[in-house]
Amino acid sequence: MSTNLNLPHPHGGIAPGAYLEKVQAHAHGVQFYGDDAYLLDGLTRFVGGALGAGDSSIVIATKAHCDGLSKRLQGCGIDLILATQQGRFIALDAGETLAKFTVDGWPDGELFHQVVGGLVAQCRLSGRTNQSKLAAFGEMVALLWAEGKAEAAIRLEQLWNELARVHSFHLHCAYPISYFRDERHAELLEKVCAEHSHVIPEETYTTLPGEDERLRAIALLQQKARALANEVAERKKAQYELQLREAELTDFLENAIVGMHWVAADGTILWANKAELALLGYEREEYVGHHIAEFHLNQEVIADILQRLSHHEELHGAESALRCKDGSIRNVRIHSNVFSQNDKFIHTRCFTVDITEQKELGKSLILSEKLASVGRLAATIAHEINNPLEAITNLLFLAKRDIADRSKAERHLELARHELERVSHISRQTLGFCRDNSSPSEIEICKMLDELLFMYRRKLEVRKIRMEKRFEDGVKITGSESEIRQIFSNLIANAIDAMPSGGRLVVKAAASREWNNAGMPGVRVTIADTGAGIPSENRKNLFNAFYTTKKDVGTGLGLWLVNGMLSKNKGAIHVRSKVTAGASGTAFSVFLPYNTKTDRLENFTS
Amino acid sequence: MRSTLIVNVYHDTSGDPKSLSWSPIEDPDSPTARKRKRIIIVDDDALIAESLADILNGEGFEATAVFSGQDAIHWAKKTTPDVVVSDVIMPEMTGIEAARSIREFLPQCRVILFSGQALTNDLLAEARARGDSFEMLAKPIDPYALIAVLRSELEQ
Repeated sequence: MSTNLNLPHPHGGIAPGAYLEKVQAHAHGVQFYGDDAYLLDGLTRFVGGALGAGDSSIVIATKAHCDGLSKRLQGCGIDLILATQQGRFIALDAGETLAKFTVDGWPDGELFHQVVGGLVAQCRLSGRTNQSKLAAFGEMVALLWAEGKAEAAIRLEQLWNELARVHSFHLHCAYPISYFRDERHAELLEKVCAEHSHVIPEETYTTLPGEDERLRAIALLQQKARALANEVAERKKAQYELQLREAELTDFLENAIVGMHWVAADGTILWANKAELALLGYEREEYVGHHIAEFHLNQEVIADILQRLSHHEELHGAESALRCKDGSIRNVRIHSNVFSQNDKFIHTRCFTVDITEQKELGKSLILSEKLASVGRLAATIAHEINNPLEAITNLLFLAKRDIADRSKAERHLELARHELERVSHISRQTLGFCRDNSSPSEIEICKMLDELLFMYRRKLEVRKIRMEKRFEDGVKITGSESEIRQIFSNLIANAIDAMPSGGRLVVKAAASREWNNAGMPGVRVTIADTGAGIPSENRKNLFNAFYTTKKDVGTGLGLWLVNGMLSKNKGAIHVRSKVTAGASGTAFSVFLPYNTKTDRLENFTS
Repeated sequence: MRSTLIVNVYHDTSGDPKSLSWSPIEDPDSPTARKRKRIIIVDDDALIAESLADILNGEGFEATAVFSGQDAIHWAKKTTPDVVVSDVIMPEMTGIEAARSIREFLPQCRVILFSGQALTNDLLAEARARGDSFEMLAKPIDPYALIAVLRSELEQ
């Protein structure tokens, strides 16, 4: 038996095999290793030392380890074949051996003693003397551990210990330290160590050159352990708080009473909160995952919304109507913007506010306002009609009284006739029966304006209004004469009304283009006054029916009619106004295309 | 000679309806006519005011037409009328405001208001609440009725 072992011996380090002499025949050590090669070097000393001394050895390891060990042992000059023949060396595959005594993944005590115990007994007897020792290495425990069966691994260690009471052998186990990287493993590690008589830490410790270094290492490890423990505690605290925060936010989103949802770039609903689902009455799976357009009444509206969002626009109060599960419709206002990362559209942040009630309220408000307006209108009409009637009554009385004086009587009757016309005109205007069935004709704008200004000349004189005309001669359009006349008449009358105590009326007419409408050519007429101006809060109601600031004189229909007639004639109107004292005034600018009855842009040579 | 009997119901501020009868037009030279009642007619519609004044002038009254509340007060100060006949709803100053101002320096002046609008009912109620004694006629006024009213004396 060769004892010339060329065994590698780390300088100053604790050689794993070295403790073989120190320890009794009964020993159960565990080694935690990082590097397979280190493990094998140690095993080589352990097994090689035993075999070299004529003792026995059992190795139950993985194939890789078995092969690696055999190579090393042979490299050290150990004749494994001879040893095996002598029965002193048994090498087994850990997995196969394990399978022989585990039942349902759990090491069965009886089977273990049968299988492993038998091997141990047999091997020991093959030793040279009765005092021969047995060096056993097993990593079945490590296999069990790798499978996550920690309890089973510990049970197996216990079974080895039971066996050790029957036979004497030196058992060496090994676990890769990486198996214990989780904080939970601390307790289990302790349990594992508890089954062993001694523990060999990982080689970063054992390869340290001297006791001094090792002590330093321990101090450093202690600090590190503390620091890590601290960090873990803090991390746990932070994580806990994060979870609280997340729970808070999730609760906020889920349980807020405003509907919220996310829409992907392609229009799919990614998430919706409870309020959103409740608003429409859908179950989660009936809403999330579907395309948002499915729920909107007007496809054009939702297409526009999605388009604007796809350009990362912010939507403030976009109105739409949604179809609920029960078929009813709810009016909503959508507030949305886009969550993006690196310019990539991730999803929208949509808020859906139900305004159905408000809209209903709005409608009934408009209705009651209209009713009130109609009441006012009726009162106004009554007044507008009563006055002429009053005058006519008086004039007829006078005509009768002065019948003998022909010219006097004629004058009374003429005035009465004029008042009658006034009543008729008001009746026509306010009851909207001004339907012009005449076919469109060519209208000379300047001539019409001149006629109107002549008609209003008395009023202009009485109110001391200066008139300025800036006409481009010869501008003509084709359209309904009475409608166009009514437009200008209303605007001029309004301008005059705005200047009860003097001012300046400017009337301009010129050829122009409507730039909002592809440069459509036509005529622009501007009627400007230097009255008090229109405050901005009234601006939006300007063209509404029955809206008037003329107290009891206005019907509120003038501009409304103007607007209506303009759209009939494919025209447009703009208003500019200032209320600053000293520089106040209003200008209405009316554009009429040359041909008021067609939509197409025609070529005109003017 | 007109012989039509026109019975008109009108309201004064006491709220009791009164009926009146119409009497024939007087002879302008009769002694009673010499004591002509001075009347101011107020209406922002010039045609109405003037035609009414014209009518009343032919009926033995001395009527002047003015076209605003301000003018009415001004003229009343100058000519101390017996009656003021006024439209209620006028721009700048209502007939009631003008009448009240005139009453301050002419407490005995009779005030007859006329208007064609429902609003005047509220104004009437307001005036009643304040204890003003105005008479009211509805528009359009029947000139015969007005003449009759002017000829009768208000029962206290």
